[in-house]
Parts: sequence; structure tokens; C-alpha cells
Amino acid sequence: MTTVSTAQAGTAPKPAPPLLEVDDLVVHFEGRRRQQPIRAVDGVSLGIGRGETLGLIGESGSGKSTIGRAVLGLLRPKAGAVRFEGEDPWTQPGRRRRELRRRMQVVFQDPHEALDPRMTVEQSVAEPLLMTGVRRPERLRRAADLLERVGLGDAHRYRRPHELSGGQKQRVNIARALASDPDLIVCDESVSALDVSIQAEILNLLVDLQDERGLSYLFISHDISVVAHLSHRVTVLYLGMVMESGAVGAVVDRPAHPYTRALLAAQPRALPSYLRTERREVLRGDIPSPAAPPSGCRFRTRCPFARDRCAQEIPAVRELEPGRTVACHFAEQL
Amino acid sequence: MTETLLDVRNLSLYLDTPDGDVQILDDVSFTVERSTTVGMIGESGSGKSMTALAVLGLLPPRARVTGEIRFRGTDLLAMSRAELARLRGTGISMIFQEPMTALDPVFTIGQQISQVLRSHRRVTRREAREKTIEMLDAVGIPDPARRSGEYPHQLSGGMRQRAMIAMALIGEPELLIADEPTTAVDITIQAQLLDLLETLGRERGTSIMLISHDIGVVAELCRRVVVLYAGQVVEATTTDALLERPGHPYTSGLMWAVPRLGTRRQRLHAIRGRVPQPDQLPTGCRFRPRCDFAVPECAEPIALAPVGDGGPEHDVRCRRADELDLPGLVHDGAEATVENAPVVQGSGS
Ligand SMILES: Nc1ncnc2c1ncn2[C@@H]1O[C@H](COP(=O)(O)OP(=O)(O)OP(=O)(O)O)[C@@H](O)[C@H]1O
Ligand SMILES: Nc1ncnc2c1ncn2[C@@H]1O[C@H](COP(=O)(O)OP(=O)(O)O)[C@@H](O)[C@H]1O
Ligand code: SF4
Ligand SMILES: [Mg+2]
Ligand SMILES: [Mg+2]
Repeated sequence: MTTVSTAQAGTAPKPAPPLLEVDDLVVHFEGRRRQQPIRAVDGVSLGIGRGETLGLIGESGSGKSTIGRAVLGLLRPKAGAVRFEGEDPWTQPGRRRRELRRRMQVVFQDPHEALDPRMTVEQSVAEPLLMTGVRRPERLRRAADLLERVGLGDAHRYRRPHELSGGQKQRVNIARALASDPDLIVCDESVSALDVSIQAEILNLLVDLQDERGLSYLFISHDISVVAHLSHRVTVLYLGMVMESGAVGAVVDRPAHPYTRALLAAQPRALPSYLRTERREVLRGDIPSPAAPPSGCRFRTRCPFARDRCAQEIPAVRELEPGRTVACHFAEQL
Repeated sequence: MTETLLDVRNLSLYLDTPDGDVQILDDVSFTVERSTTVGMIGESGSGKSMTALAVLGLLPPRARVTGEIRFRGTDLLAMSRAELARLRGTGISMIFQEPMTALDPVFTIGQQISQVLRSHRRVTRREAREKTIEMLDAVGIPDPARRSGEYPHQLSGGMRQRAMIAMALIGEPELLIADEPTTAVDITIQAQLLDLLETLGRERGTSIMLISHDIGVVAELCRRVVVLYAGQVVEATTTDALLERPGHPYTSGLMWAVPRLGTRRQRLHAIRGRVPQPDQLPTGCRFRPRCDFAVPECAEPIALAPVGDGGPEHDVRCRRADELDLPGLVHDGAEATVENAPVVQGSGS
């Protein structure tokens, strides 16, 4: 048996700073026709350790992709910061900024859109290496290795995107992301467009690659089962704010926030009639507009437990237990 | 006791394409009983939407069909276009994945629903308006009188889907075909819509055929399930029997490919290979090149047939259905986990 290195109480070593820290991030978008700005992300904090997957859950429009894009430096936050190993790329000189950015890669939902239709599979994967000054034979050798690793053999090397299936294209995207030898990959709905049997292959591949390389993932999906499958920790978002976060086991098995509960209850279950005992609670209404979010708790207009206080006071993000936070005034009483 | 409302028998469908005639559906047979719910599952391209369009008589002109589609005993394939048009809305209605493609952006939803009603029944404008508002109320649209004056783009995705359901049900059809009605909406809205379909089906006695790629969604609503693979029905039985003891290796494989809340980073069963194109089908069982249980005899043609212990309610298209004991999602009367389920064979990543 190996000794587990989780420290005893009192002698706990100071935890290393997380690989990625998102600190009180605020991203607003210009509203249409002089309306209020869209408060896509409104004070979100999170952290991702090395070799760890953090899952982001929330309905569409909750700000998941916006957080992903801010992490990648594709948009500049209105306030707050994204720090990679303690450094904020926006405050670094260009060279250093590019170096930090190289260590964060992305795999998007649409496997097709991200690939250049004129490039062969091999060229697509070797391209990110051009910038690193690696010589051509070495680039091609590395591309071949990566393609091999993601399960695409020699038969696929010279194909172009239109000659590949959706799952194969997503493998190319993963190989391409790996080419820069990143520490973190942002997966934004990376398996959402795939049929289930292909989705299973890609999820297996992501788990294996993480175990082999100590990669970290920011894993974004609207599908809670997929997020729960891959993540070590999860953060639940609603209208640009964190409702709850913690270890996946805790959040999924003992949801503390009414919104997390509602999401889990809405999850369709492939179970026979006699195992569907409890009647699920269906959340009423639609998500309000992020241009005019409700006062107080953003979830209050749909919350079955809302009281007067919820309309007046924004619930603070509180620590329920170490590593577990919740933003509901009444989390303990539910 | 039960009465068969829709009886699809040996339905085959061919499309005339630039590369010649391709067969899209092969020998598809299934029934929908009155006042019941049937799910149809299968991966993309398996032929789910084409089956639905065939039932509604809405196939593209380049399509050719053989077999029978009996609705209340009458073969729809022998009906004239006019007769079919009359049946749509009052006999069989359909709702689609993307409501925007079915709703007209230049008319209010009230106008569109009234219009559908007036095309089916002799009602005055005023009666049509009243009935429309009642229907909008029944599908859970708040403030229906005001909402009926709004245009489709003014509604949220979930509300639009409700308006679609109202439009489909206004002619009081006996069968509602819903093709992926929740795929484009959020999970909380999906739960609302599934509840609504369940309630409406129960209260009005409407039969529902729900098409989905998600076995969980089908399990939420449907009593029976039909599994489609590469244009063929590979399994059909009650939802409970399917989840307990799937008879086809494809069905079992699909169940174990899907991550669930409890599968935490455990290896998922990735069915190797991929769905064949309609013009590159293997001989015999179409799942054979991907099947872990294939034997040489699987290359022989195989029909959908009842399995031994499943009773007359369990049909499978697999030569080895009687001898295989495939893992379902139930184990010892509880949800199966990766630890307690018999090992599913299969390739890795
Ligand atoms: N207009 C068309 N012309 C040629 N082939 C078509 C056409 N429409 C559908 N097909 C083919 O018919 C087969 C069945 O398609 P269908 O739309 O019924 O699949 P489906 O099961 O509904 O898939 P999805 O889950 O993606 O909606 C597929 O191979 C598809 O490529
Ligand atoms: N470029 C943009 N311009 C204006 N609004 C945007 C833009 N990107 C996102 N939004 C808005 O920000 C909110 C959060 O969006 P997003 O991060 O894409 O959510 P999610 O990925 O969780 O679905 C939504 O209301 C969305 O419409
Ligand atoms: S703070 Fe109030 S409205 Fe918000 S989740 Fe808690 S109980 Fe519901
Ligand atoms: Mg998104
Ligand atoms: Mg379809």
C-alpha cells in the first residue's frame, strides 16, 4: 500500500498555490440598443490545481464560456484577475504574456470550426510548434506521436477535416492543443456535439491524458453527468455568479444550494419506473435576463425557498466546510 | 383492452441521391397503442426523424417507401395527399427540435394557433381565439391572453416549445410525435416540458411518440422503447425491461457509454468503430463489425424476433439474443454501478 500524503491535522504543509486562480472576475458586455450592460460574469472566483479538473456547471447564459475566454486571455476582464502560477498575463510584457498563454490551450464544442479546412491533419497538429522554433522533421515526428496518442494512426495523417468524422476531428483538436505542451486545457462543451458512443471515447481519452501528463482541465459543459464524470471539483454558476462549489462527491451527493438541487433533480435518469421513487421537483420559469438580474440572490425568482431577505441582500459566498462554498442565506436550514 | 393506434409494418425507405438509390430505413416495424407513450432512441443518422416524417407523409419527393403504415387501421401509404393533410393536426401532429423552423416569424403565436384550428374545424374567429388562449394556458404559458399577441422571437426557447406543443394539440390529435423536443433547451426547461407532455398525454389520452438520442429522457416519459440502429429496429420492449436486461449488444453498449452521476472517471464503454453509412452496410447484422459478441453466423440476414424469457413484449434483432446475458442499468433491484455490473467488453479510449 502506498501512503497517502494528505497531511495530518496541525502538520499540514502549506498548499502550493493553484495553477490557475480566477479572482473576483467581472466581465460585462455592451447591451443592445443602449440597454443595460450584460453582466455575463459578476465576481467569480475559482482555482484549479495541477492535475486537477474543475467542472463548470450552469444553464446556458450563466457565463461559463465567458469565464473560459477570460482565462484564455481572449477577452479582457472589467475587474478582477486571472493568474497563472501567480502571474496575471495582462500585466506581463508581451513575450512573457505569450509564454503564459501558450501553456493554456482550448478545445471547443464544434470539432469542425476550429480546424483549417485546407490543412492536413498532420499540418494542423504541427502548426502550433512553428512558433517554438522546433525544426520541421522534429515537428512532424511530434505531430505523428500526438496523433498516435489520440488514436489516429498513419491512415489519417494526410486527410483533411472534411474526410474525418466528428469524433476524429475532436481528436485532432485535442492533439493540436497538446502540441504546445500546455499545463491547462479549457474544454468548452468539447463533447457536447458528439454521439454518446464517441463521447465515451473522448472522455476516456481526456482522463488518460490527464493521468499521464498531469494536465489540468477547466471543463465546461451544460451536461451535469458529463461534468461530474470528469471533474474533481465543480463550481455551479447562475447568471454570472457562483452558487456553490466543492468536491464533486459533496456537491453531487449533498447539494447545498437550492439551484444545485434543482439542476440535479432535473437530470433525466435512465432508471426503470419502480426505481423512480421520489417525484422530482420541477423548477418553474425561465432564467432572467443577465442585463437585468434580480436584486439580492440572483436565483430568488425561481427558488422554492426564497424569503424576503433573499430579495434584499446578495448572499455572500460562505465556506460551509473546508473547500466547500455556498451562496445561499439559508443553506444550512434546507 | 389495448388498441393499436399506429402500426408500422416492414417499412423501408429509399432516397434517390446523386450517388444512386440509398436505403435509409430497412424493415422497420413497431406499434403505438392508444393512450400510451413510446420512445424511439438511436444515434445521429439512425433514421429516427425519417421514420417520423414517413408516418406524417412529409418525406422529400425523392423518397420511395414500401411496407405499411396503419393508423386506426387505415394504410397511410395508400392515402391521397389531401387525405393526409387532413389527418395531420387532427389525427397525428408533430413537434420539432427547433421550434423556430416550424413557427412563422411574421405572425403572432395566437394567430398561428387559431389558423391551425380554423383549418381543421368550423369555428368563428372569436371561438378560435378563446380556444387558443385556453390551449396556451393548458401548456403552461403564463398570461396567455397577452402572450398570444406576441411574435415567436419574443418568447424564450422553452416558451416557444410550449407554443409549438399548443399548436400541435389544438386539433386534438390522437398521436403526437415529438422529435427531440428538448434537445435545444436547458435541462430545467427540459424537465418542465417532459412533465407537461406527461400531463397532457394523461389528461387528454393522447398517445406520444418521443424521439430522442438520450435514453434517460425516454425513460422519464415512455412506457415502451424502440431502439434504432443504422435504419433498422434492433430492439423493442418496455422501458423497464430494456433497462433491466437489454437484449441487443448495441443497446447494452449504449447504456454503458453514457456517463452518469456515479461513474466518476471510471472507464466508459466506448463502442468501437462507428455507425456505417447507408451505402456501406455490412451483410447480416449491421452492428456486427462493432460487436464484441459477433460469431460467423452473424453475417447471415437476421430478423427482429421475440427473445426467450422476455415474453411477447420483447423483440430483438440479434442472433445470440437468447444466450447472451447483457448488463442493463439495474443490478439487484438498484441502479447498477461499474463495480457491480458484469464487465462490459469493449475497446478503451
Ligand atoms: N435529404 C436527405 N438526403 C439524403 N440523405 C438523407 C436526407 N435526410 C436524411 N438522410 C440520411 O438518412 C439517414 C437517417 O436520417 P435521420 O434524419 O432520420 O436520422 P436521425 O436518427 O433523426 O438523426 P439525428 O439524431 O441526427 O436527428 C441518415 O443517414 C441521413 O444522412
Ligand atoms: N460577445 C458577447 N457580446 C454580448 N453578450 C455576450 C457575448 N458573449 C456572451 N454574452 C452574454 O453573456 C452571457 C453569458 O454567456 P456565456 O458565457 O456564453 O454563457 P454560457 O457559456 O454559460 O452559456 C449571456 O447572456 C450571453 O448572451
Ligand atoms: S438565498 Fe434565498 S433565494 Fe437564494 S437560493 Fe437561498 S433561499 Fe433561495
Ligand atoms: Mg457556452
Ligand atoms: Mg433527427
